[in-house]
Amino acid sequence: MSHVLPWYVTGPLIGLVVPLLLFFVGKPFGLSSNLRHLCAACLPSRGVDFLRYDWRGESWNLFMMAGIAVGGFLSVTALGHDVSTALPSWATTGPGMIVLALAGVLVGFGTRYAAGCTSGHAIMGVATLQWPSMVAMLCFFAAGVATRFLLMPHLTLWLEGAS
Amino acid sequence: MIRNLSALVIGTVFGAVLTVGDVANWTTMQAMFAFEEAYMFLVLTSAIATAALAVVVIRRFSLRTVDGTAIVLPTKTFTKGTVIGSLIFGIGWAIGGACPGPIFALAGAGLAPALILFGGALAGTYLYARLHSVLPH
Repeated sequence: MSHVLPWYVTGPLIGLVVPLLLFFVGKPFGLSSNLRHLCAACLPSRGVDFLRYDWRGESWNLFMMAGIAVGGFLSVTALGHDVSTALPSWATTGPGMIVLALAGVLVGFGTRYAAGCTSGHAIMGVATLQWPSMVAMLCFFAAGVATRFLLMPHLTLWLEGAS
Repeated sequence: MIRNLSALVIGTVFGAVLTVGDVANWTTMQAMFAFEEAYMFLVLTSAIATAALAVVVIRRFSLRTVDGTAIVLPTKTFTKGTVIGSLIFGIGWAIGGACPGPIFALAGAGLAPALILFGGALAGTYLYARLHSVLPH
């Protein structure tokens, strides 16, 4: 697969988010927290201690999240980037949508249980030499690689057959 | 307000880099987890190296934020969730082909299935929140 941007442009630009956030916002990089903030802001939190905190104090991150969505929007509209491979071919089939929803549940549940995702652990945590983040990143990849080799061939075959 | 605006601008550039750089891309993630191309490994390694270098400079010169407060770097604590949660996330990441950042970018790009991933991720987070007190940590 060919890419518009070379790795030495994409990678450093992603890494620069860390000092930019620290300088201009005074906060560490970490995006999955936004899912918690959205739950705390929008869903019933009565009796759920994990959702009873000052999420408004973290609203900068919700602005960051909104910005990412704007960036995605501009990439397609203003920059004309081709996103035809951005989601699997089965994403719009009935069974495919159920699989995507379940994948999302695993992402949301897993990142909160792990207290971080690719941004908070693999980039922010590893760049600051935090060993729990290194363990987290190894686990992300161990599970991802195992899933890719053991599950995805069967899942893809089944989903493409079902469409 | 300025902080929120800064975050919005940084997020916008970041979202565009994720999208145009094909990081917010299921096909790229499949190729990464199958070791079919070096691209994502080089992207991640150079991203971490760039961030690490910046952090070294920040520490070395005790740099402060734009409004003059000290920069505090977070300490990550290890729990059972660091392993169990990370493994669960890795499975979801490989199936859906997107971690949280790319999910936001793809939803913004107007891809309807990304909204399903987003909804699922919110549901998963809410499920964790409700089970938080009974899960091993």
